[in-house]
Amino acid sequence: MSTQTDAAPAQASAEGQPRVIDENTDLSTLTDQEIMKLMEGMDHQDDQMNKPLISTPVPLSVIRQEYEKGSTQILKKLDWLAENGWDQVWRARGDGDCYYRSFTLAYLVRILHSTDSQLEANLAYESIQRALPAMEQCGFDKELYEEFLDSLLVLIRSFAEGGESTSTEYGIVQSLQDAERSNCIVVALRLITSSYIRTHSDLFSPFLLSPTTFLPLSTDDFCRSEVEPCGKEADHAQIMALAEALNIGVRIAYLDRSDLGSEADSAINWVEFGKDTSEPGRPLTLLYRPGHYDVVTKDVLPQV
Amino acid sequence: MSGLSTKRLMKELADIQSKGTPEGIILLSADSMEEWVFLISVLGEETIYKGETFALRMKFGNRYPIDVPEVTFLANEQYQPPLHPHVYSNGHICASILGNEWSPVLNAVAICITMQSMLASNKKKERPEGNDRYVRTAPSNPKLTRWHYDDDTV
Repeated sequence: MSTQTDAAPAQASAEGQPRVIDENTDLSTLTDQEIMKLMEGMDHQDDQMNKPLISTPVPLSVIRQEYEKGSTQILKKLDWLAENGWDQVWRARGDGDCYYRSFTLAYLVRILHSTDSQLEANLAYESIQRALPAMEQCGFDKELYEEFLDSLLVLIRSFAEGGESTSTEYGIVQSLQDAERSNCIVVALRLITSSYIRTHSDLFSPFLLSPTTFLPLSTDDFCRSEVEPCGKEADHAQIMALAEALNIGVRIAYLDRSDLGSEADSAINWVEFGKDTSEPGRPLTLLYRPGHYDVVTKDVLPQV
Repeated sequence: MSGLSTKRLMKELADIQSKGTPEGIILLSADSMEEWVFLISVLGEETIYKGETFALRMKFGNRYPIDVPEVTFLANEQYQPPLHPHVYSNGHICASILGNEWSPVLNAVAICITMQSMLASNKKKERPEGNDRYVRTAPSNPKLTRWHYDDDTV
C-alpha cells in the first residue's frame, strides 16, 4: 500500500493572512485550507461538483458545438439524432452517479408524458414494490432501504395526487436538484440493482469484471465495490439489472467514434436493455459519451 | 446536520442501545450526533493484539450516510493506534471501505467490525511503508489523502 503524500501535505504554516503560494513554496508547509483552495482551481472533479445534479434540457445543437472541431463520426451521429427528432439533452453531473440520476429523470418524465400519468405512476409503484423482496433476500436492512426508497416513492405518488413537484418537467428537474433527495434515490436504485444482480448471480457472474483490472469479480465483490458505493459508474451489468428489476426498457445512444459502415439503417448505435424497447413501448432514452450518461429526448411538448 | 444524517444516527444509536454491539466493540462516547468514539479489541488467543484496546473515532458530516464518516484511531496519552501495516502512527487508516468503497448501507458498527477483522487477520506488527513521511505531511482529515489501495487482505 502507498499514499500520494505529495498531493496531501501538512498544516504547518501559521493561520492568518493568506500568503502567496508559488513554485518556491515548500509543499509540506501547506495547510488544509490552502490545499482545498489550490484544488478548487485545478481539480476537474471539483469543477463537476459545482454543476447541477441534473438540469433542464439544452438543445442537441449545444452538444454538437462541443464537437465541432472533433471527430466526423461523432458529428455524423449527432446529425442523425437531430434529423430524427432527438433534439434535447438533459445533462447529469459527471460525478459517477450520472447513470442513476439520468435514469431517474427519464423514468419520471416518462410517467409525466404518459397518456394516463396516474396509471403509469401506479404501474411504476408496483414495479418498485416487486423489486423489494430481492432486497430483503440479500439481507439489506428493510428500514434502511425504505428510507432511501421513500424519496423516489414520494415523487411517484405525487403523480397520482396531482402534486406540484411532478406536474411539469421543470418541477421534476427541480425536485431532483435537491441533493439529499437525489442522493437517496441514487442509493435506492443502486440497492435495487445490486439485489437484482445478487439474486440472478448465475446470469450475471460470467460478465462481472473489475473496471480497473478487467479481472473477474465474484458477484458479492462486484456488488460491494462497483454497485453499492456512490460515485461508481454503471456499466452494462448494472444497466441491464436495473432495467430488468424495474421491468422497463432502456435505449442508449452511443456517441462514440465507432464506425457503423454504410449498411446500418441508423447512423448511431443504440444499445438496448430490458423489456419492450420499441418506440411504442416508450423506453427510457439516454445518451452515452465515453464515461458519461445524459438523457436525450424528443421535445414532445409545445414550447411554453 | 441534515435530516437524513440525524435520523440515521439516531436509529444507529437506538439499535446499539437496544441490541448492544458485537463482542470486543464498545461505544465509548456519543455525546453529539457529530462525533462518536468506539473501543475496539480483538478477541481470542491467536491475535497479536491480545490485551490491547484501541479507540476508533468517527466524525459524521452532514452528508452521512451518503458520504463516509472521517474515521481515525485515536493517538493521545491514553490511546495509541494499533501497529498495523495499514494504520499510520497518527491514527490514519488506509482501507477501501473508508474511501471509494464506502456504501450508504454500511454504518458505524459495520466500520468497527471491519477494523476489528482487519486487526484480527494481521500477523505482523509494523507501520506502513513511508509512515514517517506520511505523518509529517498528512492533512488532519484523512479523507483529503488520496489513498491507493493495493491489498485489503493484509
